[in-house]
Amino acid sequence: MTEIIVTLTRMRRTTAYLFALLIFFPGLTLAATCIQQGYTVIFVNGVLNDFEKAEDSKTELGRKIGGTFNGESVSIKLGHNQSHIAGLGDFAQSVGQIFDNPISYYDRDTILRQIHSEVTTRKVLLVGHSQGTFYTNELYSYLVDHGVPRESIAVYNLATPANRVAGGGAYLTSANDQLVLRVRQYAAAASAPGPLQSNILIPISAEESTKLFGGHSFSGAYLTGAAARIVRDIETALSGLKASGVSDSDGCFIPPPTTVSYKVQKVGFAALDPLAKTSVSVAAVTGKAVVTATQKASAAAAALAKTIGNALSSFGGKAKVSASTQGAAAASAVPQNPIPAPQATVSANITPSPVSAVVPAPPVPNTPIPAQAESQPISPPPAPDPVAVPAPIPAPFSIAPGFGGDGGASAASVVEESQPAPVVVVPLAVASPDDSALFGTSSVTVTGTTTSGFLVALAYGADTASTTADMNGDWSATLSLPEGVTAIGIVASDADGNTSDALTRNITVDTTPPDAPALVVDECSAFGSAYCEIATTTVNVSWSSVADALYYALTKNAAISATTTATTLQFVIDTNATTTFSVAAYDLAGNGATSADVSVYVYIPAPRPRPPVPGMMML
Amino acid sequence: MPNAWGPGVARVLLNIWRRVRWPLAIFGLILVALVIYRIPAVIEQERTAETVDRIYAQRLTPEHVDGKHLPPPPDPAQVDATIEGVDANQNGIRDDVELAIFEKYPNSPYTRAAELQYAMALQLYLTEVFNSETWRAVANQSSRASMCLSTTYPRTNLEEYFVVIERRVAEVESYQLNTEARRQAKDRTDEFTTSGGSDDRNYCDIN
Repeated sequence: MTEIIVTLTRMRRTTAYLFALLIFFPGLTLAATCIQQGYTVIFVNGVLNDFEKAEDSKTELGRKIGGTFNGESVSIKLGHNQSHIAGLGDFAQSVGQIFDNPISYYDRDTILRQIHSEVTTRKVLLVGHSQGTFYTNELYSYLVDHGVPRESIAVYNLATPANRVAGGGAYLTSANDQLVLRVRQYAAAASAPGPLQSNILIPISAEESTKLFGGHSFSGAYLTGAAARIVRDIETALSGLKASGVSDSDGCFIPPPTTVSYKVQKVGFAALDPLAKTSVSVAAVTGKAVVTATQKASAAAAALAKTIGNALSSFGGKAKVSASTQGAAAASAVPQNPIPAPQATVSANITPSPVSAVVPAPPVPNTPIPAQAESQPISPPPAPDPVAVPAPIPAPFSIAPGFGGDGGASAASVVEESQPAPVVVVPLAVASPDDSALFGTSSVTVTGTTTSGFLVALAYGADTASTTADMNGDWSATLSLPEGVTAIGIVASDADGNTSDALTRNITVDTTPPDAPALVVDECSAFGSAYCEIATTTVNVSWSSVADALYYALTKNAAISATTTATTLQFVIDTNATTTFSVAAYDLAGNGATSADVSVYVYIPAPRPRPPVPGMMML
Repeated sequence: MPNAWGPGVARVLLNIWRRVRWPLAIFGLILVALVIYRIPAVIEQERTAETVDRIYAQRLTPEHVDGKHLPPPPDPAQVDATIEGVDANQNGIRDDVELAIFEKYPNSPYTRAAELQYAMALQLYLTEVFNSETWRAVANQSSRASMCLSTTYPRTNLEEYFVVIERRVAEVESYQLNTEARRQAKDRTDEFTTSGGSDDRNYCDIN
């Protein structure tokens, strides 16, 4: 009990006050100041992205955008679009949103509450992906009605199933996005507004092609294949924002009120969502076990049929292929996955080159785009054909196709049929050295990354070198460079001779040391030699300034005592001992030159003991 | 001094007291019980507040970057023996990670600083996260460090910039989360994920 009382006593006052505030005002939220300077980018994810995954996507986008734009800071925030009832809720909501008639504004309001304290700048850009683009459109409408000037906010949508971008913002949708293609077909069949036309063709990676809706994921498809385009579009959107109005201390917008309806939905989802998640996990495990058992039974049946067939043929002379054998063979030829093949939507002759795949077109405004107006050599999506619309997907492991960000069951054999031919991309990056780097040695190691096994060739002066990337894609080459500036050209290539863009580095090698400084101990100047005896322990050491010296390192008794850009230092040294000083000058490349040693001996005679005073009492 | 209220008032007060004393006593007991019940939560709050303060106080300083305070190579037997690892110079960065970053970037102090800052933030996930509040604080530090890393390469060639930055992020993560135990420890903190963050736009501790 005493411990408890002591602990309570030690409680910080601020914590206690905050605690009391939260007890008496549970609905209290801290409003942020809304300032003119800087930008806030809100990323809203697609469905079936848990918080961590959405956070990762936001962080990756943030790194790509960078922390500043036009000299003002950029802050990236997540407006987390939660998934409900294992995606079923989102699917239903998405259908409503396609018709511009959402079932509920619960998720929108949750995002608004969440970001209210985090939006601290007048200028706001909403970046949505997949179903998140419906929410960015809804958020825009809400925000302009609740305190955000129109000229201060914009929307940029990626992989959007929506038929518009709020505020006339730009968007990016890949012609290889299988989910948007599917939505387009469904929408056409239902006479619903279809997604905006695709305006880029992003090659699909091998990993991405194994996903049910390949080419749709934020990180795996869009950020991997079109990051530069996305960043440029976002920068264009940011440059169009104006911080109108005055700074506000009550936050940048008015958050939605917490209504009874909202609370009821919150409680409902809190109960339903974990239950649905667990049910899906159990169903997935059970389904997988059933499929595995079926496959094993099928294989056993095939083996048995083959054995019987062989036995019959050995008895009957001329072999007869039994019906059961044919059946087993046919069964093994049929894909196990019952998902129907999606319609081929990208013709094979549009396979882009690695560089030209991402068309550097300006951001597309939110206006209807006729198919022939596409600014790139890709086939427009096929005309809606109700007959060609695939049947609903009986997906045993994924409840809702939904408008997911990165999720989706594997259906490689199906997706492969609809993918364009593989695109050869030869990536290359140089990690070090930076361009215009300066070295104090002629041996310079260049490091970087490409694809594992790819050859990297380096040309410098009249020489060349080559190396192969290791299993992690890392490569390095150590070059011997001459004095002065050398331009190094670097190219990676694969086994078929496809090459990357050439990168260059201008490297300066400077191995010439600066002049050696001349060191003096001021107190010894009268001696004019490398050794002197003095009677003081405080000495001033100084040396001549050296051109090109970046700094000096002063050595005292063979140990570096100080580094400085000055040319004088004061020391207190030991009595009745020799102290040796030297100083080295270092240039920018790290070349050094050391002065001659100067030794000082401090001689201070010990005081003579006084003779005792006669008659003095010793106490 | 005579009683100014008189015997009548005293009687009334006594009557009231007799009627309310038991309800008051029960109310008092309930209050005491509630206070005792809340004590562990309050202690937890205090611990959380102290940890959050410590997390936000964790900043890289020039001494961490100048290479003059490097730890000695850690005992190989101890390097991966615990989740926390060895931090002999007690700067919040695991010694093996610190030395690896210095070895990788001997001539690039700015890149070195950014990677050290990110390593420091990732280490916080392994050592300081035990609830949503502490997770949020560490996530903010990690987010700052991640953004700081994005400043270590020129954006003149965006494609190249993306590759290098992601490579540097992955590099630190591979140093820091180099064992299954550490990866699992980091994954365990996912249960505390929560929304909300600071608006600290000074991404780099050292500019």
